Amino acid sequence: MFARFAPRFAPGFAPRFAGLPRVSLLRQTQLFMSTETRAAIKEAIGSAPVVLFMKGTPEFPQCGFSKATISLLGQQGVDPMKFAAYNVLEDPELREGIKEYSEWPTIPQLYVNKEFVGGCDILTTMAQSGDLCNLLEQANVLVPEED
Amino acid sequence: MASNRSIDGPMAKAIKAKMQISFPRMTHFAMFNDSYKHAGHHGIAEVDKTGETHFRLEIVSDEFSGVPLPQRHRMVYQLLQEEMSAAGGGVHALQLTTRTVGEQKKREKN
Repeated sequence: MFARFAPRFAPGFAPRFAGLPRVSLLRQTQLFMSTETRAAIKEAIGSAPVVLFMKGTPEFPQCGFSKATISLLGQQGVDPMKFAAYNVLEDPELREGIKEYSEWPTIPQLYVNKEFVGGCDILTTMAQSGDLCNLLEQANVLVPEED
Repeated sequence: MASNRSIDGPMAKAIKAKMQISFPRMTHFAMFNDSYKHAGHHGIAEVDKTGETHFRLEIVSDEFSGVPLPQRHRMVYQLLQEEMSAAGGGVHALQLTTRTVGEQKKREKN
């Protein structure tokens, strides 16, 4: 349902468009998301081991926090083959729905193996403490080191 | 100071008051208005004129003891649900530092 962007982190963050069919219902305000939206979000979260909901695309982030998160994930060495990004600006239903789904009012939002991890602040804090590296390592989503 | 860096606006005052009431064990509170950095960027044109769209908060309080980081942020978000809704307040981004007193002390030593 939602457009999925699977970027290669280096070099140049070229996004690969895996053209999932997308339904866009332009309703601006919605208190409770539809079951369809909930199901689509669940599917999106499960579409890759690492899933980021962001503003813009990995190649052209449209918000400083989304941009910072993308570069953070790149620095950590997240495997592009295990990563998918969804642009919430493309879909008002996704934009509002993901906030309700995660009980988290801001974008970006990161999921690893279907578990909510956090937004930009949390990822920054976790990167500094080394927790993010541990989490990504345990989740087996980093680019394999070459011997 | 440009109006969109002010922390004396109605939104800033409301946020500060809520935090002080909700975290009685708070030993440190700081607030920064970063709205000026984001003036005119995507999606905030309609609330831009308030100059109260992007805030940064530092809260040190033992109410966070034993609470995982995402849950700490949710505690704050929950309190500011109204302010952060597009209809209610239009606060667009909230950067949070949430530490316990112990965590803060450990940081200051380093």
